[in-house]
Amino acid sequence: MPEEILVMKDVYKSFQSNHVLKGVNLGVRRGEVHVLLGENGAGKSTLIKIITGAYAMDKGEMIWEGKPVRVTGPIASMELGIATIYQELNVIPELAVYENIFLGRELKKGGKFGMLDRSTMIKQAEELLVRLGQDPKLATVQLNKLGIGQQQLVEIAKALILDAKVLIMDEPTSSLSGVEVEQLYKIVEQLRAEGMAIVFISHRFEEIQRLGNRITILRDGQGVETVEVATTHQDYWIELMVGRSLDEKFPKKEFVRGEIGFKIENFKVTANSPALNMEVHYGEILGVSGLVGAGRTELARAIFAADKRHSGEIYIDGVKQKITNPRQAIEAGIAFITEDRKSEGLLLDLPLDFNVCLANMKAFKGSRKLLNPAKMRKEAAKYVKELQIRPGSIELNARNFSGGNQQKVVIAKWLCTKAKIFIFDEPTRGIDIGAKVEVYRLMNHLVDEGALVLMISSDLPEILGMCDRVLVMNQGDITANLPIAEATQETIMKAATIGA
Amino acid sequence: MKKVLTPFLSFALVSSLFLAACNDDQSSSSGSNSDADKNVSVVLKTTSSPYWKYVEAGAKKAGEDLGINVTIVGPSAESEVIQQVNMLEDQISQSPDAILISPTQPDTVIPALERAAKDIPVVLIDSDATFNGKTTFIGTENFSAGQEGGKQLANMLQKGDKVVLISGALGNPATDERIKGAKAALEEAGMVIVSEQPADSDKTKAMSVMENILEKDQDIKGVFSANDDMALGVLRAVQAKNLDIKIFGTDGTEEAVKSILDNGLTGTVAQNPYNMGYQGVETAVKAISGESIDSRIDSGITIITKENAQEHLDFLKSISK
Amino acid sequence: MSELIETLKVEKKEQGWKKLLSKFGSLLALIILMAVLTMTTDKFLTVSNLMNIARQSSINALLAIGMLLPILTAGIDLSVGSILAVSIMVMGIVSVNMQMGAVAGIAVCLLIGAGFGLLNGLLLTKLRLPHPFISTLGTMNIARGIALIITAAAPIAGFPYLVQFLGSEFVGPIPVSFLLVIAVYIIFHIFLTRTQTGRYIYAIGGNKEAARLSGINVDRVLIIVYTISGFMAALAGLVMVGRVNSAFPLAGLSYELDAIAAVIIGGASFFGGVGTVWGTLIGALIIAVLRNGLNLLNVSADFQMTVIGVVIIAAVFVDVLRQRKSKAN
Repeated sequence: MPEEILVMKDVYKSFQSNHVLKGVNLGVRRGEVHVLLGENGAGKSTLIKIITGAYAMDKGEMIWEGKPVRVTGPIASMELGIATIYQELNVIPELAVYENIFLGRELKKGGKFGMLDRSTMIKQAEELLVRLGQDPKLATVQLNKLGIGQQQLVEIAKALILDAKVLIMDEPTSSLSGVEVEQLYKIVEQLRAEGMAIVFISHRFEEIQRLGNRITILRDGQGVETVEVATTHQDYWIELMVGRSLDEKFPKKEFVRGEIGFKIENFKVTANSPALNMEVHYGEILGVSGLVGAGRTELARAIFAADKRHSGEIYIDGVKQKITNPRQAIEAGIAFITEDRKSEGLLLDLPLDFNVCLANMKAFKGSRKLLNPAKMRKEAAKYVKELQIRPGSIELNARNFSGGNQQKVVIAKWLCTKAKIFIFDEPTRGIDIGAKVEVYRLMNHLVDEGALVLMISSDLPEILGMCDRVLVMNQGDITANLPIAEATQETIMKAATIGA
Repeated sequence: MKKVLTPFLSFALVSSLFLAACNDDQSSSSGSNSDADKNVSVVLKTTSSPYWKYVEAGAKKAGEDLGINVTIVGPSAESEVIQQVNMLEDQISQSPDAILISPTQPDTVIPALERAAKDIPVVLIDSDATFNGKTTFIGTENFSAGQEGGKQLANMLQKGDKVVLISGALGNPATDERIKGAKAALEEAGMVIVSEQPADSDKTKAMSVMENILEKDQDIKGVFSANDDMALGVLRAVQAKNLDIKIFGTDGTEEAVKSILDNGLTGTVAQNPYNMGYQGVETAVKAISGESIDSRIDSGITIITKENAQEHLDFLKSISK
Repeated sequence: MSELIETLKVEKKEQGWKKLLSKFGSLLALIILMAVLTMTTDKFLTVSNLMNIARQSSINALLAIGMLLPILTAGIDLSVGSILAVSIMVMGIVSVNMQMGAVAGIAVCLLIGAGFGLLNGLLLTKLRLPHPFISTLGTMNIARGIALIITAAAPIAGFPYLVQFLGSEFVGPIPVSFLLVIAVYIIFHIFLTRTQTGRYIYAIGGNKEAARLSGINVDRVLIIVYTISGFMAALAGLVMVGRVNSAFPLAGLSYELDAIAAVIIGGASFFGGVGTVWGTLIGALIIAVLRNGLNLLNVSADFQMTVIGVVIIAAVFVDVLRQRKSKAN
């Protein structure tokens, strides 16, 4: 058995009275992909932050290459040989690729105060890019000209420059398209083969199965178990994660197709984009699939009038609608759960009840046109209960909730508007499996109640598992309209990539 | 809990330390005479400029000589009008035996002074205000100061020469009066006033104003400025063009007097700020003991030119120690 | 499960404490400050001095509550000092120079203030100037310029009694201006906590894009915000005129900075969405008490500036510490 390069022993950490880690153990070997699995709030991020020196542990031990070490801060952790790639990339878009790679450790000619040694940096950057299977010419390209996937590779290159021995990757594939994901997998496999230890945080079981060697599962701040990927089944992992067995990952029900509730006609997002037509029935969950950049989010934003559309009509219940700003969209009964909860959905530093009631505040006016806070609290409390938002304190600011619960807060906001047309943009991205199932149940509940749902998702199993029909978008156009019976990974991918 | 409180406590501590530290540094002085229980509050336009330091020095000296407590306060800049009103109110609430004040915007202090004047003598220095119960006003006759300066400048020029007037901030009564006086004297002597422009009592502004004037007309022979700072600004503009222009300032600041000695400025109409401070306190004490006071006291002016500049400089140095 | 409930309860209790402190932290600072002053000077804790403070704080308190709104939306209003000046100069022209009476003067004063505020709002939302710092910096200069031009920089004195009422009268020992402050603050409290527009102000400061996508007419709310700020500047000017019975064009010079200081000391965040009416009042009082105390101690003006600078930094630092704590959780 190869030796464990990094061992975390019996780690405790609490914030005031909130015990986040209660005796976690983790051992990472050279040349393995070690998956950290657990629901949001299970303590993964805290553990990572302790390893990278952002937090100090209350109790416990960190052993590096067999010797106990004390990591006093991020720099100390980096000097040991630990590099981290966070979900939010830590790059400077305005700088060139090589400048990003050498950021903070620029090479200089002639000592500390010398001039930058530009040519050597570019040369080394080119070598790294080749090692990562990229075009070396990218070294001098400005970073923001690259896609997210390539930007992430720059982060990996930064780790390689550091000569990192342990690479921590926090949900690295969550914002990548199919091709980019595949490229990342290959690089991870290559790094593993070179002997690097990789700590991989992921909620996607397919990728865990493909890449992972071992999994350490966390639940409620405790390391429940470390298992071999090859010899265990994912149902067992889920059981360890949630502490109970989930009946099904995708709780899809039979649906009853109602009238056409929502329709767009000759709908052009921009002057140059194709004219789109779409009909959605009440009671239906319509999946919108496609690669990143296929124009799905743009379409959703144009429907909701978050951005101005070029031309085209929107019909609801057969009646032409005038929708030129979000207010009108909301009044027409449309809800738009955006992809980016934090920057577009939530008021992070304001309390839950405020967030929930925000889009329908006029409903809470009492006497003399004044708002009735008690009524707002009551409404929020209702949704907290209905959607099982935890913790259930309506005075808590949105920032303090985990990703899954934040998503529920956003959904509660739209339920509060009594909408009947729900557009979900990547509703389960970055939330844990338990919360995902709750979001799915909620969608089922919505269509049961007679609403209709458009779900934009890059997660194919989710599309196949939850939808009644699938639209595929490709370069701004709708290239397929598949009943669920005809939809498979292959048919969808084909429509998504033709001509692309 | 403790951790949360710490910042607040340290905050309070910092402030109290400051208060304690500053407290020792009061600008009050007291003698050992029998009048030691008398308090005179002096509220200046500001305590942060040389001119007002002379006033302060005079008032202090009078306090020492007469053996009374003199408290001198003033905002950090002349533009802080309401802050001066606040300071005045705060002084009144300490119930002094007399108030000495030099109002930046005379109208603003009238309500407070009218109330104070019911109980105690109120002496105005440098700038006047009109209200019931005022004891007296001690200050330069700005019109005649300007007039004297204008006459002096005219004596050095030929009839029909072009002259420029540089005034202070628009609406400042003291500088306006000086300019009026100078204008009258210069016109009477047959000078041609080609330009009259405000430079807000500011050296840099005066410099650019003068530069602009010289752009249009290099045939200027004399300049009268409503204060010395502006005169010095004008001087820089003139020197840059290598022109021979007679420049007269007003106030008699140390810098201006030095410039006269260095063949820079031609002359200045020196006010007697030290006198205002000294006489002010002296008069206030007389008023406290019930003596009758003239309603207008001229603190006088001195025309400074190269002949008497050294003498005046020595005097300024002796009082600003 | 019962364990979970237990921890939740404990958490809630702690939150209660912290909430109390974060709400009344600046109040505590004010009380300590007053205690220190009471101990160091015997003139501080007298009715007449406390009423002095009430009067002296009222102009800044009125400006600060107007300033709170832009800051809540993550904006700023640099023009309030200049708007104050132009409003009172026009009032002087109307009710003194033109003898059109007090009511007309007051009405024109408030209208001019609101008008300049409206202009700020329109510049920001319609011309899409990138940040209110820029639009209000522009109006700051424009308004000050107009204030100087319209009377050729001359001050105006001799206002009718009604104009002076707010700034100079007393009810018993209490200055009317301070009663006005209390009334205005109560109205603002209700406005910000209990009306739709008031809550939208917080929402926009919290997350402008999320607010827009929640159907809020962001432009409309911003225009209202700056209009109110301008109106409050004019109201503060009215009080100032009453207090000193004169209007002068350099009135309110750099007052925007004191108003911003009060709002920030009161716990509002420059990033928007966070801040309360009562915090702002306490901020304004802290500044006034500090100035008054330093005057009573005959501390020179230069030292006063230094002390106030330290207090601003200390107050905001306390806030930073507090937020760092809450985010670590």
